Amino acid sequence: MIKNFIKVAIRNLMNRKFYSIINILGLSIGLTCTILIALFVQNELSYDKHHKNHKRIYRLESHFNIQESEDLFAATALPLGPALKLEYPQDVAEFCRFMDMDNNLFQYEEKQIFEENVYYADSTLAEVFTHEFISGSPSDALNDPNEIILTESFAKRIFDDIDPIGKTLETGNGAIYTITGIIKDVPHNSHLRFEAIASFITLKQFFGADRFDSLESAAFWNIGFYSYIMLTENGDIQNVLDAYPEFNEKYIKPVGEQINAKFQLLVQPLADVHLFSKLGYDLPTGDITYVYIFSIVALFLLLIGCINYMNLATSQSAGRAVEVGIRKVVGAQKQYLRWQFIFESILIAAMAMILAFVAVELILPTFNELADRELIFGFIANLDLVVGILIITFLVGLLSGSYPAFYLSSFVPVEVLKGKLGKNKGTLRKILVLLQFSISIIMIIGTFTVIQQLNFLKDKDLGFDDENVVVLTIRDTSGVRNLQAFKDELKKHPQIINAGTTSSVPGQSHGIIVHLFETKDGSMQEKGINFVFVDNDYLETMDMKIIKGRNYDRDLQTDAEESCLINEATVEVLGWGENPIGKKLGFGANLDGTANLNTKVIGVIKDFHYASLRNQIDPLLIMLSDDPQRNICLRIRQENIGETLEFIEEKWNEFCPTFPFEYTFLDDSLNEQYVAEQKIGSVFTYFSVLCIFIACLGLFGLASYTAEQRTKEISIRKVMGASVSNIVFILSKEFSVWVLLANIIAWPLAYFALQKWLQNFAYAVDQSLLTYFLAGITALLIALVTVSFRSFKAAQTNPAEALKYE
Amino acid sequence: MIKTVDLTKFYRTDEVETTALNNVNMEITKGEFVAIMGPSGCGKSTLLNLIGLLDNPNKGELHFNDTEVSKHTERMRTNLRKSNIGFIFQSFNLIDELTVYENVELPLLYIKMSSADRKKRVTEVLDRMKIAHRAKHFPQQLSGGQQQRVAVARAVVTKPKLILADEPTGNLDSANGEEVMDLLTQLNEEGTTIVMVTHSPSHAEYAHRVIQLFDGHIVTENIKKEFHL
Repeated sequence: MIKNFIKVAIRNLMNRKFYSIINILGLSIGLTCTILIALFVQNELSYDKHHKNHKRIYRLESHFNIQESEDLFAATALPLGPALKLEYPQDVAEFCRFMDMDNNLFQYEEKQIFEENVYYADSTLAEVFTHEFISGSPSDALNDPNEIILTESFAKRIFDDIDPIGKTLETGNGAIYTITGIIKDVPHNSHLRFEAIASFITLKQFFGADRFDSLESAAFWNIGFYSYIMLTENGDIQNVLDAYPEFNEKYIKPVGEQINAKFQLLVQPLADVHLFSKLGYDLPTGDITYVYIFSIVALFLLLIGCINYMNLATSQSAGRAVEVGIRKVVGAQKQYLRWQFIFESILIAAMAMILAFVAVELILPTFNELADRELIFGFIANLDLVVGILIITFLVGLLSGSYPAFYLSSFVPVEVLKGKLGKNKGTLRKILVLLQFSISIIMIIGTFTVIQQLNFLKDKDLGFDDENVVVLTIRDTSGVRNLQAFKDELKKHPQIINAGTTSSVPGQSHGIIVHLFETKDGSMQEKGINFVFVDNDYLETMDMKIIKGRNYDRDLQTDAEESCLINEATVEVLGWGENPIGKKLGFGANLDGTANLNTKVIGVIKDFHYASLRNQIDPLLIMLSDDPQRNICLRIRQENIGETLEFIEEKWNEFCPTFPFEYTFLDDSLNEQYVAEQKIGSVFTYFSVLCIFIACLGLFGLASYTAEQRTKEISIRKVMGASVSNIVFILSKEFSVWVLLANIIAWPLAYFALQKWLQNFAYAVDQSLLTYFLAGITALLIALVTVSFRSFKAAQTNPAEALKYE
Repeated sequence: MIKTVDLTKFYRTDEVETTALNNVNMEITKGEFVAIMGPSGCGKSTLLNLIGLLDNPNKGELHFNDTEVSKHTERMRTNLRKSNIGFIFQSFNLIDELTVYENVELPLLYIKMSSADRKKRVTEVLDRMKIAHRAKHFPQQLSGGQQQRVAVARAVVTKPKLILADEPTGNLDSANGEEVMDLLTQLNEEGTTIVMVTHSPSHAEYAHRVIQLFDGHIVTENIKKEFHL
């Protein structure tokens, strides 16, 4: 019997090639996208779970409360981890701290390699985290100063095939490290990825023993370390949090009271850091929102693929009526027929699934590029996913087979054989089309809005000119010493208009420090405010506007010592109103509560976006400094950029020979802030095109079916004098109504979803009705073209033929 | 073999009730060849469908081999039908997706015959219908006459006691029509009871008895030939 089922199924497929292709294609596109997105989501959810103890590991985070301003940071103070372990040994088993290494140039004999992902970390690294040591001892690889462990691939880059253990590396600032261990490369799905770890104890010589081991209150107010604690086997993080008030009282409050600030300890489970952390000074993380968005998109595509499948399967069922009739007449029981149809349906779904698996293999490299991932797909490695897809396929087959199975098997054979089919208005199918197009319209509106928002971010007036600005970041201290000379040399080139230096260019994190400022009644109050150091040329180079007062004057010696520029937001937040010039500011409140009170505001700069457009513009102090800064910004002319860059490189090699020449264009690096959004934008575009494509496949199939069903009607209408366009109109009208109705479902859903997404940005486009109309019209046009194509063909049939046939 | 008592069937749509058969009383003996005639819409096919257990009457009794079956469920009717009754239709009603061989084999699948027996039986029947050389062809590749021979083969493959033929020659030219009638006569001579609906007076001549239907009633019954048990 099964043999008979398979035979009939395959012959049916072959006889209805057109519908079969549409059907299998639609479902396999849906399944392919679902697998790809599932891989992506799985990967996002897998971050840091490879650490054996990940359930016991928490990252410590900082919540500062200074006056009304609140700031959350991923970085913490040096003694926080050790103090917690000391105070709560029954709960905290171990801590491990990381600090970014600044000098990232490594030299072995003649070979120099630049590597950014290098940290100092405590010797407990191997105890807290799970890293597989290829050589060296995990327990004492980082016990002594100037020891370093390397990842396998980093070691290979430096040493090729030489055994690196015991060899030494010299860094850019002359420190020498002995290699004590080689570990497997840090998995891609780790929020903290590194190529090398130097022993934390090395920092003792830089900080001095007093500061390094200090548990004084002041030490808790200086952050710059990523700290992790591992709980004991029976430890409970809640105990630690419950006990925090006492801890605070003992360690943190003494200095906090002096500067009128509070510190709250935050903890984040290790596996949640990647998706749920959105803090200042954080490592690049993912975003749970995008996991949700992608999951919904996957669901949409799967749904559309399945709907398509069901729609076509059921519409095709009428063609099988005679077969059902005969099978019944010759003795088939109802359940036999049901099984036959369900079996067939599952078989076709299985074909789509196989096609999808093949497609995933082919598309995965491109998808990885698009989503910036290293996803792999293997039947063993992704067994859960494969089983999931098998179940989905089975269910889709079962579901879409069930309707025709029950519908057809209930035919009265006598009537079927006479060609009298039960009147099936196809309401279910129309509702399914409605659903499909609702989803498609949501996707189109989503795509339009994401693109609009991306363009908005790109084109928004940032308060300075970010075009044609080359940024050089100096990593080498010797380079910094010669900075003025280097700058002067660069400015000699005719294509370089100006050069200014700054501690942070827009887009980089700016320091925050507690300042004293003058209140309305003339007294001084503390407030945490961002600051940036610049030189005399910076504002002009960046084309930032002074709207009140004046810029720094290089001829006035006092400017560097007791003057300060502020942005409009500062005026607003401090309530200085119309007369901010001359107000007193204490730059950098000292830990004993004192500050240098000599600083006076000399000018106000028009607000500019120094952080991403996700954030409001916060107050900012722009301080003049004679000290060399890390960033040189060069405003260059648009012409001969290549040649200008060659000149800059030449000078770079002259002044900073130790480091390889690297530059960025400011507008590029600013755009990189929105890389996640850009990816979402392109993924959305691709997927909504696919959504529409599948939906249209379905619509096309349905339109063809309807046209076939209505051959007689069309012919009679033609005999009665209907023109081709009349017929096309009649056939297209019905579907158009449903596509238009789909807007009613799609619009509010799209509106709420997008509104939620746009809330991520302090500066966002307004959703316009026009976008919605455009999306609706796009969907309608695509649907019309699809349907008309088939209707037109139907309208051109010779009525004599059709009527004779009937 | 078949006996009807006040057999009545009506069709209902939302507004209209049409009586297709009205208190039909008749009896068909085992081994008989009966032709049913009458104008279009007189209830011929309805009567055939009721006798063939494809449908249930609204009123009256239907006895099949001395069993009252008018209240049987679909499942019971199917079971009775698949081993006792063969059908031949005007429009052949072969399944396009199946080959000649597979079409003929189909009823045997539902009576769960072993594959070896099926093969033997199908080959036998195809030989007999002189269509064995076309076994691997699909229905569309055959002429009308050939298709109807396949349909006859399918009807007789289970060796049914009763064959119901609904205008079996209606779509055939006269030569092919005669051929099918010869086949039916042959089957009848071998003991199969045959009930045939036809418009053709000449084909009705093959029957032992002709029942004339008009507006759901039996109007006349003509005995054409002597029929002995």
